[in-house]
Amino acid sequence: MVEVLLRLGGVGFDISDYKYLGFGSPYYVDFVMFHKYLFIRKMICVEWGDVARRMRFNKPFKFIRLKLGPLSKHIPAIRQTEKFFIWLDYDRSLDQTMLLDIDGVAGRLAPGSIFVVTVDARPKLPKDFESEDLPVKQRELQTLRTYKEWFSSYLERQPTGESVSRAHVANTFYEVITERIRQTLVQTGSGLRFFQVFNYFYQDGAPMLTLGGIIGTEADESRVQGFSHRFVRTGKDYLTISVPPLTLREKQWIDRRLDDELTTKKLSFELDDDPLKNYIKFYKEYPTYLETLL
Amino acid sequence: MPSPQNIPVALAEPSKSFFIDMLTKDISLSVCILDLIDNSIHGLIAQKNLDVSEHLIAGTRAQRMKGRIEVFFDGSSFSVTDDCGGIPIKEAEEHVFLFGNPVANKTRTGLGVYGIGMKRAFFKMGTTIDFKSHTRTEELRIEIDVDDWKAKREWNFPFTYARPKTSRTGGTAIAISDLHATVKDLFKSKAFKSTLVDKISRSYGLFLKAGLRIAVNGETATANIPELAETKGLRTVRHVMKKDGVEILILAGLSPRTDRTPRGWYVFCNGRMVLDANKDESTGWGLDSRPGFHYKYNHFLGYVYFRSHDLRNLPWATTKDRVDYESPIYQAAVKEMWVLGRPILDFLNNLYGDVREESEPERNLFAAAKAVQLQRVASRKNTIFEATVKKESDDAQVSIQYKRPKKKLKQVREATGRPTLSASRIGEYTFDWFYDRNCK
Repeated sequence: MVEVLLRLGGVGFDISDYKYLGFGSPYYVDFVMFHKYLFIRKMICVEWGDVARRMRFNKPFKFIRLKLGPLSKHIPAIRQTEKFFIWLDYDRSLDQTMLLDIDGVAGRLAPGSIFVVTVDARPKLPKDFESEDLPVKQRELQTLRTYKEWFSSYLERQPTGESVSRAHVANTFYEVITERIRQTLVQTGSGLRFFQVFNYFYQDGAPMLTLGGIIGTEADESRVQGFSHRFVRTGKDYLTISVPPLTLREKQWIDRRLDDELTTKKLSFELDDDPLKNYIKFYKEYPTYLETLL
Repeated sequence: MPSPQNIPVALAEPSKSFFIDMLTKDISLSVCILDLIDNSIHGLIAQKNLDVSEHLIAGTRAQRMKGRIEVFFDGSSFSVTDDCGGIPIKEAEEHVFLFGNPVANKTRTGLGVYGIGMKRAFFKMGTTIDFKSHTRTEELRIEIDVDDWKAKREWNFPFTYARPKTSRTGGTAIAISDLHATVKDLFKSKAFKSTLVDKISRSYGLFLKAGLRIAVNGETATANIPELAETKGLRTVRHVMKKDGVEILILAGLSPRTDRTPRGWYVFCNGRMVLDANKDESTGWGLDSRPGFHYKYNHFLGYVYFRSHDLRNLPWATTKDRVDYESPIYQAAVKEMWVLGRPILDFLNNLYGDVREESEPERNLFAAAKAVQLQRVASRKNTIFEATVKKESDDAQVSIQYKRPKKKLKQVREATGRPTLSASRIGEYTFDWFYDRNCK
């Protein structure tokens, strides 16, 4: 994502001038990365949990403004006077509250703003909806019923057991989110549209779906159309990001020998073909932070 | 080949009976009466250039509105009389009686937009209409026998007279007799008058506050404008936006704890109420992933004032008791209403959460809030909803309640060797026992 955002600067979306708004975590990983690699200095961190002191304590840069409380409280403060880069990085499956957030944010962004949403791509209801003690079949039925109620108005066809199954729910979530953004932009009557740039599916403990793009004018559209990159995805087919867990030694060993000829037979350790191919594809994006035993 | 003169034409003339039926089919009697009141107020606005919502948005005091509208009805007749300036002969000749207003007035924030309300009210109520009006310099009278008019081909109403006459003030008097049977029944009902007065009090609250007097069968309506509640740390939404030349003022917050009426959204166009305490899809409840209205939102109170000189840009339906939901201006307003209103619903969700003890800080804040006048909130700069809830410290005391069979309580007493131990003491004792072994 960082590489694509950086290159968008080449077609007039100078990300370093944007204001970043993201969700809190005491690690502030996205804030550190976007400051270091995208040179963003205007940053807002929204933290819902009751951990104000911890968030303040861990804040890596003075210029990050910490906003406490749910996102809904801070959406009215988003003004069309400046361009935003907003990443709603949820760690739960799509629900109605998130659609309200997406609606509120998409309707207030200035032309040229970047809007990214990440959701857990599993069919899972929030805790207060799901009965853990129900048998699997009944729980699936309950999920289907709830998703029908929540998402039908965003989908071309009513959700089915298959479309909300673990294998396909990412596509359903994709359709719901993109349609929500589309409807919001039509309703605001601003003439703005959503030009998708990202559609990624990856494992981060749980399967995650990240989709995003630019909210802009027709002029923005022609600039986006002229932009291409191997990680840009403008349609419903997502880019699957899957990298093998490697030790630091293994990673460095492969990095030193990276070329198209490298096969598993040449490795000094066991690794299957597909994980190696995926590593070669995403080696630049491979996480570089390490866990340390203190 | 036939000449153009010989090409036949298909007739498409309206039938007056069908036209009247269609016009009056889906409108209630009280809405028709409000239409006639709108006409009187429209005249007053035109004459004095008054604008109540402009003052509300600007936070200034509205110019005193000197005018009186008297509504009378009984089982045999209906009348509405005003001293709101009257209608000039030229205006009556060319505009007032047209079915549909071909030219949109763009000079004042009036209430007459579609040019249909007055005639619809005539037809809805009865078959004999006597319309008299005078300005300071002239007077006119038009008498309509609806059955006669229906039988005629012409679409006009002849004047009984239209002549110069000097008066100190202007005014209009409309009398309707030979009422339809259903209208007679409603006028005889005791509840109809009080319902109408109540409706007038709410629909014209801003006008009544500015000095306009409206009376129904001698009873004067007083402004009924529900108040918002505020206290230190609890601040109401005030937001002004513009869309396609329409100014939109949004005020939203909580009604006072003592207010037992379930609220919702109140929508006004040029100061006239269009939606009253709305809790349905007309204001977006239950649409676009938003929650439907629920009794826990009874204290949600929101006002939306649309103001424009271009009356056709306002999102009111012809009956003025509904909105044009598809209107782009209304759509943009609904979006903003919900972005601004959502934190209020979040607060109410916390206030009425499952665990009463956890919502104690919200309850205390709400209890401390006092009613404030709408004008006071409206005159501020834009603000968003703020509820500063002081979270209790970890040392605060929390009650725990649960039920267990008496038999088991007895067993606990025996096990502890204390036969007089109360149920609540057993609860404390067992909690402490668990805490000491597992949490220390």
